[in-house]
Amino acid sequence: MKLTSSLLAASLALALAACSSVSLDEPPAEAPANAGAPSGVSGVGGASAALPPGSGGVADITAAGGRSASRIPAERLRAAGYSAEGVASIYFGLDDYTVAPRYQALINSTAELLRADPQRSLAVEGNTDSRGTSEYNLALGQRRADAVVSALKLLGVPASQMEAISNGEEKPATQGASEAAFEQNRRADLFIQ
Amino acid sequence: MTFFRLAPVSFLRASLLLVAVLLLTLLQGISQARAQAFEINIDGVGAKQVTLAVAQPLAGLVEQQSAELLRTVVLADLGRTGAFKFVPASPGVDRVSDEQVMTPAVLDNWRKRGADFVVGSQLRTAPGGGLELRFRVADALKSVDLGGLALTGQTTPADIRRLAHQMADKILELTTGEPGFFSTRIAYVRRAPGSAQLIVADSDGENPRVALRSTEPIISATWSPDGTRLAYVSFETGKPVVYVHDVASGARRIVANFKGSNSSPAWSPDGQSLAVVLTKEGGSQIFIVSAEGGAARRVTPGGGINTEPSFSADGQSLYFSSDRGGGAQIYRVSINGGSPERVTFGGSYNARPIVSPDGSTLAFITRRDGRFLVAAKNLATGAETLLSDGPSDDSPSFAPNGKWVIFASQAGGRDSLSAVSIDGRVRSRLSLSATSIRSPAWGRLP
Repeated sequence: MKLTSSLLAASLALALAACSSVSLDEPPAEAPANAGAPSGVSGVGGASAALPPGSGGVADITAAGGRSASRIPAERLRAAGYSAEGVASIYFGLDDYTVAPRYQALINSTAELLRADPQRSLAVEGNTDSRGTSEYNLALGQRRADAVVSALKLLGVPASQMEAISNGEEKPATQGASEAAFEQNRRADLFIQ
Repeated sequence: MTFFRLAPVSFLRASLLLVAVLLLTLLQGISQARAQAFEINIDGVGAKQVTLAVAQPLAGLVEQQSAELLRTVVLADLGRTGAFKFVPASPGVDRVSDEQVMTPAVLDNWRKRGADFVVGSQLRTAPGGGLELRFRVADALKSVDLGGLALTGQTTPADIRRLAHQMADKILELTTGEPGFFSTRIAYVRRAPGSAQLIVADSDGENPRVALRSTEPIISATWSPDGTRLAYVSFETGKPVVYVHDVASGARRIVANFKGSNSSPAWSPDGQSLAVVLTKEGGSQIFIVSAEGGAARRVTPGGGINTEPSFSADGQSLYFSSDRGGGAQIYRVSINGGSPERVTFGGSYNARPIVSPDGSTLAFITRRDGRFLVAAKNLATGAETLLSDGPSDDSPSFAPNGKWVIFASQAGGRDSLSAVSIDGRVRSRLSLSATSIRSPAWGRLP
């Protein structure tokens, strides 16, 4: 990491502590980037990781999100109902978190892919439309992701190969407050690797 | 548009208040003061209004600009409460120092001009080079000296603002009996597609500082009871994780990063622990974890959705939202677990409970006719009041004196911050001009 900007940031931190006025233009420090996509297997515990005080009052995060490309061949993915990058989506009705029958084929082919190779993993991200409170929506998105994972467990996929998380309303596929946007955003995204 | 739900107040009074504020800002040469980060629109007046004269401070040529900024900020702070009518004070003519304000002739003059209270002040350069502010508040009707303060600070705009906020706090206390809250800070998230910034600012939106800049969402910011730390949820690792962030140093620590989602932090009243929502045991469940991180102890029974915890004032129970009864409703449970008791019954969606600092009132979000509004419930009587109009209000947070609720709302298609008095009478919209703001949190005194 850039040592000089850390030192600069550290001295800015001291300046901040002395209650001088701070311009928005001060260069932010770079906080250490965390590891990439969440591990579905090991599950990091609640151990606290203290970041160094020299972060200068501002932590600048470049997203570590954005999943790496699937190792499964594109042809197999397409045949299973996924994009070439290994992404598929399931849509939900208002306040609903049941997987509709029309997605049964996708559930089946996903279960096949996962059972065929224990190295493969699935991350399911649940989403909601923007109505309602953000944390309740985070929980509702979780319900949606959990419903997908449950359906797969019923078909014999080990839980260790899957992780269900939620974005709530925070990562809409479509911006805006129209019914069309709401529909697009009530979804679970499946990322298979 | 309906402003008031408790008691109608004449629009004439409301208009007069707005006109008075506008006239005053023009008279003070607001162009010389730094433009406020927030554009404030105030609707409504408080139940009780007092007429206040903040005289021009006695100051030398060197301190003149500082004095103008000081007075501008004091008037803006007090004006936002809707509790004051102001008697104009002309620059150069209406200067009254703290030592002069109790003079019978001075009080007589201001009493005749309609003032209930008069504030006299002076601003001097201190021997060491900083500023020395002295002010005194006089009850003009009873000719009583209510007291004042002597404060010191630097000549920087940020420090002059700090002095002004302390002065406004004291004036509010002495003239209305209400504790001041202008020296507090607010935090909020500024959002654009592909970016989020966690901002800490003065209670009036000035001095915004970026505490965290990310390309992933940041939500659910909440201040520790001692006003030094923020807990929040950051998606920077690719999923929701709870952080505790020391605002002064910028040091932050992960306190919950279990398998699945980690979110919805709420500080216990003693600041030692946090209630958080974890999905590691199936569904969304409320756990309690130390503010240092570590093992999490589960509180809520059953599956499904249990989220948005808020501690009772004695720290012994949690209010939270849950779908255990069908749709979103608010429940209360002991921190030691047990059977949750339902608290809300009006309408089909009640969520995001937040307990007032004195424990007497619950603010929350309710859906009425498809609109999401802020409501308040008196926990002793159960009586509910609707505080806002929606359609998409969220994240209510109490001011430290418990008299105001700040929340995220929408105006012109953009998210903004609004504040409403707990009786619903006075509303202000604090709008940032170009950005979307979410997740406001009002802190204690730093």
